[in-house]
Amino acid sequence: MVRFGMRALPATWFAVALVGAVVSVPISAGHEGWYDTVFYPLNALGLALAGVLISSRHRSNPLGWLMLAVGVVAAWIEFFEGYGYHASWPAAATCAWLSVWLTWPDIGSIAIIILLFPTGRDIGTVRRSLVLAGIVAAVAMTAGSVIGPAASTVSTIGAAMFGTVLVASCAVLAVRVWRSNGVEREQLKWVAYVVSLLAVVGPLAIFFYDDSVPVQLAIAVVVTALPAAICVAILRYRLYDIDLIIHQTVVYGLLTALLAAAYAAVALVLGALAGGHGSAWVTAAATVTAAVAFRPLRARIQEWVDRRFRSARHRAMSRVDGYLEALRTGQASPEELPELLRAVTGRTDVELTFVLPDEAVPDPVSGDGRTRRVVERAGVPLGVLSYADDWAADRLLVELVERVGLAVEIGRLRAELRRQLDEVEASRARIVAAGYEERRRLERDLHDGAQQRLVSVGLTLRHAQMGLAGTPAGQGIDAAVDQLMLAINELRELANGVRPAHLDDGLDAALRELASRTPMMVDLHVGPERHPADIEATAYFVACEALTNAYKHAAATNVHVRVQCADGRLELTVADDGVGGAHPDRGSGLRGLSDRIAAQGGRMTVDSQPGAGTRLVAELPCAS
Amino acid sequence: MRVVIAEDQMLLREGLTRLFADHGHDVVAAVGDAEALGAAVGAHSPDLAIVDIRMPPTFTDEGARAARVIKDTQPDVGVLVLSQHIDTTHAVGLVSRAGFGYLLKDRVLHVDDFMGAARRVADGGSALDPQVVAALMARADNDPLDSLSDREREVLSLMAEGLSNPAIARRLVVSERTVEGHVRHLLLKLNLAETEDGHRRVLAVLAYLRSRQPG
Repeated sequence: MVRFGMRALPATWFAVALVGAVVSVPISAGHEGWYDTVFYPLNALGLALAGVLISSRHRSNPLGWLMLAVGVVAAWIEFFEGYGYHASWPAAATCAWLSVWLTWPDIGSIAIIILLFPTGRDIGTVRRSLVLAGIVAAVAMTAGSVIGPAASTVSTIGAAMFGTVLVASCAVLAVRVWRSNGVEREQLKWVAYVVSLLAVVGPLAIFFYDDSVPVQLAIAVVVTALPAAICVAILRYRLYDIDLIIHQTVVYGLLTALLAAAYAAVALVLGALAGGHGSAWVTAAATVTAAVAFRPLRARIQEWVDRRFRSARHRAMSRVDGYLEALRTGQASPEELPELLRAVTGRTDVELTFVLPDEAVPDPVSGDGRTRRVVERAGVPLGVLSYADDWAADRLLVELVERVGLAVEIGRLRAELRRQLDEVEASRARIVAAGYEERRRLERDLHDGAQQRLVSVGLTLRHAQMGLAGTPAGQGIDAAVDQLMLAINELRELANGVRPAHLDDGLDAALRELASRTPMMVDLHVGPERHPADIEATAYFVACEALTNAYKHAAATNVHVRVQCADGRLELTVADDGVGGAHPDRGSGLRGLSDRIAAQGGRMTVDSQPGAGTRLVAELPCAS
Repeated sequence: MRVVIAEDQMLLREGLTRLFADHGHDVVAAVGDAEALGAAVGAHSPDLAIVDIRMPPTFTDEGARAARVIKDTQPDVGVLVLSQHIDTTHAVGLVSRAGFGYLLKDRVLHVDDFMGAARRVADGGSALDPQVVAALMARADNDPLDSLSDREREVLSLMAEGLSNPAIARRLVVSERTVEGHVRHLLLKLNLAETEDGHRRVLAVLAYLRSRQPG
């Protein structure tokens, strides 16, 4: 019942307006211009409808009620006017009289409506004074009209006051648009837009006023536009982009004016030259001029208007376009996108996160005071844009994100790629580490298993040899033991190649041992610092391979081996004085080293000019 | 000789025990880890401890550490460390003390050499594996060793292994006097002082060989 009551009162009043307006049409028809008959009741209904819509949703907003009242009165004015045409009907004179003076409070309330917009509350001293002045003006104009010619001074003063208040309320509106922000600014823009149209069309209509159809039509449309704009501004301001509407109006208004001017100028000049002959040609030339000028002129005006009237948007779009261009040429990265969005919107709370294919899309409603908006492309969620809830003016942001959709997609793909690459790198490092562990196990098995077993066999043979000295059996055992010792030595070499036991004592011990077993002069500089076992093993095998290459392939006689550790990087340098000309792509040795180093997040460079020796530098990450 | 053997591999431990028994030595204890070794050496005060360098639990250098502890607490016990692989750094470090030896495990199959080395170590001499010595003898730039004859280099290697002049003579099948001559010559060429003390001579030779090594 309460709900019904809330809606019922405005609806009842609208019904009252509807009756007046509808009935006015048949009784006015034929007594005035058809547009007067049709459009003025429609205007009245427009006002009443806007009033109903607003007051039924925002009961405490006086604006809705005021508009509803003005609409009802305007509709009945039309009825009274129509009734007044029929002099034979009872009280026709009274109705005509009513229709004359009732117009004035309605006209007077236009300024008050503009002043009260959008909430009708918390209006400052200036607006309150202007509202009071507007009421006084309306009362004066009404009184002047009621009393008639005797009170023409009162009418004049009232009209002057009304004019002043109207101009002042428009000025106040402009100031309010300028100073406001957020939702209120969006709302005010709507009304300001329509008022501006009125300011242009109104004087023109008065200037050209001749009861012609176009003029009447223009006035009717413009008068209906104000309640419509107020209605949209209060109830649905988010639905339409007022900026775009203003912008397009200005663009096409200017375009029309300039084309008309061009047409007129060409027609005048050619007409004067032709001396009144060939007016068809003159018209054609002027038309062609206007047609040719249309496209370039439109682009120019668009650009100019963009710069002047939507500078924030224009700057933002230019920056985004510049970024997209840089992205295309590889000078910008998709990762800069969130920062760019923050920069162009001036909002530090804007965040853009990429949604990877197997990730869940976050719930848009989180209750943490942030709004989340999923950015999609072809139905696939790419990212989530989030910003603080209190930000209503997000239209620019949405437009920007739509524009940079490609960058979002690239950014997401790169994030996905990076994650997969990280996984691959981690698994590659694990594989290398597992390989080292396997080598360690193998080396242990060789040393502690096979090798020791052979030594025990030898010992058993030696024991069996006791007392056989000098006999053929004793000599046979000697030969067998010699073979055994060869086998043990080979096993030892094999185990050492698999993984030198000295690595347990550190890279320096292992390299020292390696250097001592290398048939070249090795100048070794290595500190006693310990590093992760995998890093030490890699550095060792790199040095081992490099020394083998230097000896076997480069015929080097002197080698410098240097291990330095700084800034979390271990740098191994192996430089020889051999023939040079080594290349990682030729022969699998260097390639394998390079792979092994890369697997652990390092890199290797080989400088090997023919005849200038080989210099291998391996960089590995080290914790120390 | 009274011998303690520390070797974690049972077969090898038994083989070594039999080897020493075959040569008339008294194996007073044969154990499988470093802890038992310390206890056995403390209990028996043997002439010689044979120590495997890798033993439980970590199989890295338990043997070497146990050997040092024995040398610190009972300096008279000779310690012969057996290793599966050549480790110049460890080896030379260990042998710098008297009554210390470092041999590759398969050296035991050269029974006579091995027993000689065991005897030397038990008597307070030293023993360094020929392969370790060979690594130490590796050529260097402008190597003074180049000035030695092949025979002198051979003698130098055996000196580094810890052999005395008579032992070198037996090994090379030459007279002791010939060996003395080689020794005098090579020490002169390398500018090293002569010394009568066997261990000090080994130390001087090792120090010299190491000084030539890079790094």
